[in-house]
This record gives sequence, C-alpha cells and structure tokens, in this order.
Amino acid sequence: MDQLLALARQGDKGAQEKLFGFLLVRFTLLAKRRMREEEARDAAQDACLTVFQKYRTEAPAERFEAWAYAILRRKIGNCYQKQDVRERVMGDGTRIDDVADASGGTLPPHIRNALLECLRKLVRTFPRYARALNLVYQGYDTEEVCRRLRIRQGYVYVLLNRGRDMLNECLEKGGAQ
Amino acid sequence: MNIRECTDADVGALLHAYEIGGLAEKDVERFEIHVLQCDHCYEAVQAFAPWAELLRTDRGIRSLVREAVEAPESAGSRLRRWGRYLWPPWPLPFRPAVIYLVILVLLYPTYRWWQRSSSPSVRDIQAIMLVPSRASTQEGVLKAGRDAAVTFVYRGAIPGKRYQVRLTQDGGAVIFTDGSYTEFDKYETGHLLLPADRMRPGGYFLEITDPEGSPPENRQTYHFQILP
Repeated sequence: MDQLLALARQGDKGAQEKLFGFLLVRFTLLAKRRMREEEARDAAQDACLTVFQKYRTEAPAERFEAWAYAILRRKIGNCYQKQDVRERVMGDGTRIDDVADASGGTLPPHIRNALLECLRKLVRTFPRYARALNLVYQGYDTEEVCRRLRIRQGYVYVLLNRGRDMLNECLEKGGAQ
Repeated sequence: MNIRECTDADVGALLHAYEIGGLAEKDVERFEIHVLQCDHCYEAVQAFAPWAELLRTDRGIRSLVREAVEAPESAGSRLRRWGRYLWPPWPLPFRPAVIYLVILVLLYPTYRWWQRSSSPSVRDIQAIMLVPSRASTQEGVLKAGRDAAVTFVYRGAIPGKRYQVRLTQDGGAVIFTDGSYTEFDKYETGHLLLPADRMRPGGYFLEITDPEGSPPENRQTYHFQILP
C-alpha cells in the first residue's frame, strides 16, 4: 500500500485507482462488521471519498492506514447518528442483538447448518475452544477469558486461532463427516 | 487463503479473537488498522466473514456452545476423551498409549531386578536333631536338594574342647572331617551345616570321637538318610 500511495501522490492515475480500490474493499469489510451491507458500502465509499480529497494534503507521510482508518470510524459514527441508533456502541461493545437482526437473515441456511455441525464436532474434540468462546459470548474480553481459564494472555489467541483453523478445515470439507 | 505471510505476527494473532468479538476496543482498532495493510489478514477475515458473522450473532450457535460447556460430562464422554487422549490421530510412535506401553516394557525388567536385589536372600533350609538313644545308631531323614542344619549331642562334651567329627557315606566315602571340632555348647550340643550341593541321596554316618577318651565309650555314631 505504501508503494501505491507514493505513486498516487506523484500523480500516477493508475496507482491512485488501485489504491482506492484496495481501500474500498477493506473499508467495506470492516464496516460490514458493524452495520448492514448497504450501509457499510455507503460508509466505505464516503470514507474513501474523504481520503481521496485529503490524502495529498492532510495524510501523514507515515501511518497512512491509521489516518484512513480514523476517517472510516468517523463515517461509521456519522452513519449511526443519521439513523438515530445512538444506543449502538462501536467496536467491542456492539450490541449483538442489533447485528443479529441486521444480518441474520441474509445468509443461506446451509452455511449455518454446516457451521453448526462443525461446531458440534469441535466442542467435543476441543472443549477449551468452546469454553473460551462461551466466555466471549458472556461479554468477557480476552484478558478476562485468560484469567478465567487460567492461561497466559498470548495463549488465548493461539487457542482461538487453533480452533478457527479446525473449524475452517471442517467447513472446507463441507461440514462434519 | 493466500499463502503470503502476515506482516505483523503479534497483531495477526488477534485474528479469531477479532472475528468472534472478543477483543477490547483498543485491540479492535489495532487489528483493523493492521488489516488495512496486511493482505494475509485481510484475506483471512474476508474468507471467514460469513462464519464469523454467525459465530458473533447467531443465537442457536451461542446456545450450542453454552450447552456444550455447561453439560456435565458423562461416563461415556469421559471414556471417549481418554480414548482420544491415548490414541490421537498422530503417527504411531507418538501416541501416548504406545509410549506408555514402551515405558512399561522397559520398566518391568528394572522392577524385577530391583525386587530381586532389595529382598533379603533367604535360603530354604531343613533341620535335623540327632540325640543318643538305646539303638546303636540314631536314624534321621533329610531330603536332597536343600541345605540341612544338623544338630547332634555328644554326652559329656565340654565347650571349647577338641573333638573329631567325621561324616561318611554308607559306602565309606568321607564327606567331611574335622579333627579339632570345638563348637559344642554347654548343653553338649554341636551343629553342622550341610550344603545341598555336596549331599547326594543315600545313607550317612556322623561319628563324633573324643581323642582323649578310651574306645569304645569315646565314640558316638549317628546314622541318617537323605532321600531323593
């Protein structure tokens, strides 16, 4: 991204186009975690437009991505305000029920069934993952999860990623065999 | 998924915690900024997004996980867990069951050796008491293959005095002889230990003589048998 940014700043149109295409997909992915797909696309495009207008003059030479990310977060916040859903909070505090209502119906049922099957298998073979996941569901962050499972901070990430890999492997096979 | 490496493994490690919504706000921010410039993590998040969304939001999945965690472990599941622990899908030499078996096989000879060396070596021994009687000789019976302690009496024996003790087979072969036997105690009793390897089945004479006495009163003879 740094290379694209440097070329875009020098006036390379192709690099500029690539840079904003690159940013747009990432912004959309991050925004979708907090809002409906259409709103996420709007917020991502809005953020990209602001970055486009200001990146030559206001963006710092280093940590461009942090600067661009701050713009995205602002746009998402504005979007919430416009929709008068002030009770929603950003990031970790996102209200699950709101998101569930927003996205629950968009996924085909076979995806959910496959995940359920794989998860059933995983909680049997890797119960520590299930315990960590359950604590997250209860609203604890990873520090608290570590304390409750009596494991080191770094290990909870290893544990979760290992569970994810097993889950992913199972899903790639098309569900539990 | 792309095989490119993550540009910052420390932040990349937050991947699944981020996906399931388990990060504190500052870590969410750190990870999302990282995703903007790390292709590996972007592609990982992108590819797993539908599952991550369900994991974060689906009530059925939450119930499944909660029930699995809270359900008491049944005996069957405990057995299965042990089975999985002892026989996981690893290469055969690394499976715990195989490792424990090898350890046992190696430990057994050590245990036997230790048992043998630590237990006191008690030898099975038989005893016979020969005392004078009206018969001309005293009969006793021993069994071959075991050491024998022979206790015999010589009337008028004095402790510390020298006597002649001779053990002969019926055929006349001398098995043992001692011309200066001084082991009689104050009860006129002497002892001999006959090792099993020297004693063959047959009849034996034990003859005790006082060299200072006059024959035939100075001689006491006992006879005993060793049976096969």
